[in-house]
Amino acid sequence: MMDKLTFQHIDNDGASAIGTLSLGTINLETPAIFATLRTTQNPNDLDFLVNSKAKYNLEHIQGGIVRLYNFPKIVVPKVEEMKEKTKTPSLDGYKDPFTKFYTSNILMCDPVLEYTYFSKPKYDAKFVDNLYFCDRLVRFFKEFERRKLTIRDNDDKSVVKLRREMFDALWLGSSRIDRTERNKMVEQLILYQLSYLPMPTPIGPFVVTEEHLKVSHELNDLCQAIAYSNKRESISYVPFHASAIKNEELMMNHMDYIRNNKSTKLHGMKFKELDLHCPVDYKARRGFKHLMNDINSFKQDNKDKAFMLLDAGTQYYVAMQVYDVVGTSATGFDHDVDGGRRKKGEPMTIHWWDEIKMWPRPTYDAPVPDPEHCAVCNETPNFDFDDNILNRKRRGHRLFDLNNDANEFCTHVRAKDLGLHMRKRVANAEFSYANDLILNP
Amino acid sequence: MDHLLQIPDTIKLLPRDTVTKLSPAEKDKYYDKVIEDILNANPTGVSAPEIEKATGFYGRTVRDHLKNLTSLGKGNKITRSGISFYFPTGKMEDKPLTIQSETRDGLFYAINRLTNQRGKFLYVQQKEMDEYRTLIVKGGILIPEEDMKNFITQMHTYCAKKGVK
Repeated sequence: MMDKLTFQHIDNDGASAIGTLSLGTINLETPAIFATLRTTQNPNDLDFLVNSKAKYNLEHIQGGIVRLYNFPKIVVPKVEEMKEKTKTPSLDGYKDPFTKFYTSNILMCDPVLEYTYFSKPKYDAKFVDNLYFCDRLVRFFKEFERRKLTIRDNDDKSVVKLRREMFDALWLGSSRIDRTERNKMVEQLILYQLSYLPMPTPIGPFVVTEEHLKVSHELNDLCQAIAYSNKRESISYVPFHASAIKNEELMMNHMDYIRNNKSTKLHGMKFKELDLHCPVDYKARRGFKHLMNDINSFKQDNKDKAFMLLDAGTQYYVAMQVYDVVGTSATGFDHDVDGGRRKKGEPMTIHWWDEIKMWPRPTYDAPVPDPEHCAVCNETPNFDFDDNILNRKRRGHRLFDLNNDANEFCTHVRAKDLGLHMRKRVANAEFSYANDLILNP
Repeated sequence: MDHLLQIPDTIKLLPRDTVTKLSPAEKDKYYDKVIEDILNANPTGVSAPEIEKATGFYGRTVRDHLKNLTSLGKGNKITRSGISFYFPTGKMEDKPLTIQSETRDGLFYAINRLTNQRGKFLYVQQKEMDEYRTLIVKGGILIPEEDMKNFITQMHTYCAKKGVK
């Protein structure tokens, strides 16, 4: 039986809407927040989320996003264990926390194939080690390592140039063998996701130019067709370079693709490391507002379609206006930071989410937690805890804050005063630009 | 009056050249699913040329898959004036009864009560779980409700005679 993906519009206040996104028996109240599950130890983000959901009432934190290269380590063993357990259902109907989470939230995969464009040796190694079954991808990273060694003095510019050339060859190669191998890679990765997840995320290139977008759309269709023929739903998903938001034509073409895609109910996108707060870039801010308006007008005519933004960065708050699912980190950093950006061996600087400034601040510089804010703050009178404990607490605190934001969003959509509420909320935020991106008067 | 073929939005219809990019196994599953969904969306019946025209699939592909669906009990074929029309098996009345095999892993039997223009039936399906934990129909029979009592009696007698426990 196919787990149908549907979206039902419930209420709206101007441009912003709330609704119910359903996948089979899983019902999510939107805006839904999906936590990006990045670290695999101290804490294991997936375990942390599962336990937090079991312990607290986080009704709008309704999903998790795991990077594809972490998938075999943190998701596969749990799903395998769950499959074993469900073969012999217990008589009292007891479900362990993971099964409970898996059957009432949406666990998704972020393919993070932007790292075929950017070079991060740590991630390259993870792809090779954990996705060893995907020949073409493994060959890509190994070949890059081999060719990098031939570059004199490891010159940064030449390394970047090499990576870009190899990226284009990986995704845009037009020879028959290239296309066949690329399609095979895409199929392998989608079928892999299908083995463990109810809804796969399409595989495609990181989009910088029109040419990448064209291939991305083509592969999106292919992935959606594979999911469909295996009786599953698939979303559309395109990861964009941050600069794409300023490329009107590119964004217009993507919106056209969405308009013409009749079968897909959830459209996902990501703007890699887009930060509208800093550095100041008015064109990018205008571009983002333009896109939100486009999505809004599309949703007015298509009330059964939903949108998702991954790695939302500082845009997470204003994005909730038109994106029904917002993926963001449980720490407040949508960059590649665990425990604060640091070099190997250096002590961790724990950052605590300042709910007023809407910004993560180092604990030595952050106000003490407000016991009224959430259950975690209530149990944290100060920051004199072991780093590992604080590392968990700060995630819990941030999840509560995200949940509160989504909750208040719903309340004010119903009360038809969302614009006013959002303006109040961002008045003291670190990113005042958000004021210009509020669509409602 | 021309009868328009219903193609629901839920069908992911790909251009023919994109379908060819799928591996043979996935391509086969894809054709099956599209044709089955079109069949189910058109209770008044469809012919192979109609599906061929709407999807751009080759006629032979459409006919082969329709034949396969019929053999699994997912559709019925009626031939009039030399043209074959296919109809969905019928409308399920409620949730099926699913019986899990006690001896074989991943094997299930589903009993559905359904209605179509020819009456009420019990549709018994043999289902197997594939590697993606999706139940796939591997076989099925359609028994008219009025034959059911006799069918079970005969089966009991047969099993008793052959010593099947």
